[in-house]
Formats: sequence, structure tokens, C-alpha cells
Amino acid sequence: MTRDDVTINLQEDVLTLEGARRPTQEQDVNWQRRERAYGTFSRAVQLPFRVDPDKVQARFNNGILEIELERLEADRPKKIEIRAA
Amino acid sequence: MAQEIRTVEQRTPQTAETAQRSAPRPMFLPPADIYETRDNIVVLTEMPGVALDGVDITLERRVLTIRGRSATNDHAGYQRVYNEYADGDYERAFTLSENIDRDRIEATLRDGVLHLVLPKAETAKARKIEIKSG
Repeated sequence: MTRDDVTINLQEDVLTLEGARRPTQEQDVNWQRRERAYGTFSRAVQLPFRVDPDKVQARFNNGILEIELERLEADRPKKIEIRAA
Repeated sequence: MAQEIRTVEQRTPQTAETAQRSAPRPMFLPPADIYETRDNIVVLTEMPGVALDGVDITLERRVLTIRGRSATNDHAGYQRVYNEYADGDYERAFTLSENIDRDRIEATLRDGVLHLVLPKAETAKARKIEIKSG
């Protein structure tokens, strides 16, 4: 699979990964063992907080996809001051 | 609408029957695809996290052993919340069905997938035998 075979979508606090893997295009093939998965895949992950879509970094190294997401500034818990009545 | 494909977890750790590892990292059996063309045997194994310097391939007689050592991922400043994926090493051995021409073996590692092309030895390719009428 290459970079173009995977799409990453982010909506509010849900991260969705979708992609497809095609088997070899070689002709005249006699399969002895077939254990790897082929076809389309899709996975949605619910994040613990909303993230900033402009600050997402996705890295693909040695077959491992690493997505780094930063929490949305507006989503950070804010301290509320209690004023003396 | 895309459907989630349910796949069985392919990364099975080695059982206790095999020798205990001295290192405290899990050892996985990488899933493999093996197919045969007219001239070659092609082996594809998945070893995510393994770089070029972490692969070790040996062919002794007809036993092919593939070993992969994955680079440790050290995420400093982060707390592990959910773990489905573990850092581990890979090892798998196959007994090949054909005799291989060792000098022409090609191995490429890309994106964690090892692509091994093992050309069949000349003697292994089926030779058409002429029948002469006697």
C-alpha cells in the first residue's frame, strides 16, 4: 500500500481511517499460502477530546502510520473564578 | 458506506513451546503470502516497524528463516491510553518446496513489507522431455 491508498478523515472528535489493499497483479500465479489481508478497510476512533484539524501530523514509517493530534484550544478546560457575592 | 472488515488478529505471539527469549520483547509470527510463478517463488511478509537494518534473512539448504527487529518507539511526554499494537520482533521459518538459485535472490523492504523473490534453480524448472520413437 502506498500513501494514496489510505485516507484519513477528521470530524470533531472522530478520526476515520479508510483504505484498500490490492493483491499482486502478476499473472500465472500459483498460491501456496495466503495469510495477509486484502481488500478495503475502515476504522473510526473516538478521541477523548476535540482536536485542531490544522495541527494534525501524520507520519508513515516502515509500515506504521502515526497520527499526532493536538487538542483544540477552545476545548481545554478553563478555570472558572468564583467571585465573592 | 464502507464496512468494517473483521479480521482475525494476525500477530500471534510464539507459544511457550519454543525457546524462551532472553529479551523482554514479544516475538510475533508475521503473516506471509507465498506464491509461485513459472520461474520464481515470491514471499511477502509483513513486519511493521522493521527498518532495513533490522531484517535478517538466511537460507540454509531449503529452510528460509526471516527475522525482523523493530525499532522501539519511544513517545516521550505521552501517556499510553489504548494499546492494540505492541512493539515486538518477528521471526518465521519456511521449508521451501523447490531448490533455489541462491545467487539471484532479491529482497526488498518497503513500508514494513518484505518482498522476497526466490528464483527457482535451473534444475527445478520443469523440462520438457522429448520422447523419441524407438
